[in-house]
Amino acid sequence: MSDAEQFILTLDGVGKEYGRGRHRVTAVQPLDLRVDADVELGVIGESGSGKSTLARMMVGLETPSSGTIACNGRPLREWLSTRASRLEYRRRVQYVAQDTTSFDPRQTFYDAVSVPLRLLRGVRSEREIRSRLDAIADELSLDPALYSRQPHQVSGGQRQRFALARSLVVEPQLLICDEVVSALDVSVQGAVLNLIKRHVAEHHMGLIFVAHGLPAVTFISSNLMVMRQGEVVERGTVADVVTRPRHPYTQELLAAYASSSQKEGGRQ
Amino acid sequence: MSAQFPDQTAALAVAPRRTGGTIRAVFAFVPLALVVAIAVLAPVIAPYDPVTSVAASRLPPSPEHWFGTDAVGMDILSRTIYGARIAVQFGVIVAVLSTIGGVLIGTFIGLSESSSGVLGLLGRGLNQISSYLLAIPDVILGIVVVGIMGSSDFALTVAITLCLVQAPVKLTRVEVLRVRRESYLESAKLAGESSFRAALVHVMPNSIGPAMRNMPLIFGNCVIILASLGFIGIGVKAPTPEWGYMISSGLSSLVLGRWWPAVFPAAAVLLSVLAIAYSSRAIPRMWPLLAVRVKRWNPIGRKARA
Repeated sequence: MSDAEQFILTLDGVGKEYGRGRHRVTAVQPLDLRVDADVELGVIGESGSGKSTLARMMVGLETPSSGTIACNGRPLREWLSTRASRLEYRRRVQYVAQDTTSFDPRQTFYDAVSVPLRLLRGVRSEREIRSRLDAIADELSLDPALYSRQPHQVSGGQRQRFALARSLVVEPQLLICDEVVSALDVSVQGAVLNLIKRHVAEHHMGLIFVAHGLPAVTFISSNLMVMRQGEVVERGTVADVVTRPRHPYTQELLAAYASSSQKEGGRQ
Repeated sequence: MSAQFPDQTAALAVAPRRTGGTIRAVFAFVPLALVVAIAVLAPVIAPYDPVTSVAASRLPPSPEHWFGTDAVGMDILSRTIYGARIAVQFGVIVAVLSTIGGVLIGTFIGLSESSSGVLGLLGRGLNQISSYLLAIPDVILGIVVVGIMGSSDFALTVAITLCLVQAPVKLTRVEVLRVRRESYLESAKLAGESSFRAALVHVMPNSIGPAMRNMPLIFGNCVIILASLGFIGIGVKAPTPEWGYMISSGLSSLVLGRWWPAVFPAAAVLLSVLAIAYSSRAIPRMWPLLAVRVKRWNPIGRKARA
């Protein structure tokens, strides 16, 4: 097995630009990245730092303007070119978005969450689907009765957990979470983070966790990548980055969190 | 106790309003139902055969012939009643055809117009054609189509559908342009759904609302266009009782003081279109009730579950 093949995702000089000429905006500056199956990588940055664009490029929702993304040594473009390999790629890499509008308002959660099981895992029997959906609901502390509800009939936290369920039933090798807890209130955030962390550990999944909140990212991941204005300013293990930040922006970020958590502590 | 309280208030808040709304929504359909009932029951209601001479010509309204008789002695009341039949027949067929066709074409245009390649070209082309057809007055478009295809019921249906399909096309297209930006389509893609499946399961059902609400208006417009084409003599063939033709043939005697052959069918057009328009206002109110059922309708999911 060659070097590139063992990594689920290999990014070589991947960058993204929008617009042309004077209106050109660089969303992500060319970067290299290797993502292994048992890596938990946190990507942190402010709004517009390109972290979401990066995540979306990894699943083919955006096309990089430079560089190549490869999965197990095969370019993403090839993976997505035929139906069979596209489905195989979706089996390996799944993406959960922040958007709580990621469910069709007409569909029940049962319909929505069973779709990837049918299409990606080829599960045909209704009993099998039901039992797998119940299992994942149990794991995510969701009441299975909620499967018969429609998106507007549940809370934001429940919707977000259903979004996770839809990706987790696929049992991917790599899960990409894009701001999945940012819209939730703090108590629910903690619950969802715990669920993700436990599930990823139990199933030996890779995880890329994109967020703008430092506590969430440091809690859930072992490696950290700090992005600013499309550029990776710092990367390393969480312990390294938090205790010895090299880049001024990271230092600023850490200082800001330190002072805000102090304030919260004082209030309590 | 505390757990029960919100439930009760919720039930109180929803239940009365819902039944009241339902009754009012159903009541609003009475005018439309009346027009349809007259059309369906025409053979029972009409006192005479609408296409044979049953009395002396040009009799004024009387107890035997409430609406009088026309130039060849046919009973105008019977003809007006049977006229509803023609109007409703065309109205229903055209409304259903235009809405189904419009939704399909509108969805196709909305999904394809911004893509490159042959489909994009086709989508943009259809959109342009639709815009041009929209700019042509309905009656003129009708004359052209009937002129090309020859006068027949089929040609008339095609002509009127071509006039009225443009509204659902445009309405659906705009909805599709909105829906296709929704993030649930991205989620569907990631869940392994093909574009075709996504169009069928997500895009179309979430885009049909405005076209469905427009359906009764098509019905009303169809009645007007049918009467207009009949009026200028290219509508349904005489002596079939059709309001537009009846108005135009009665028009010449209007100046001679014989008002009944033209005024009664004209009133029928006016009243039926008003009835349809009134009832169509109830559709938005009816919509939530229908939508509950439509929302449960899921062509692919259900098939897979069965």
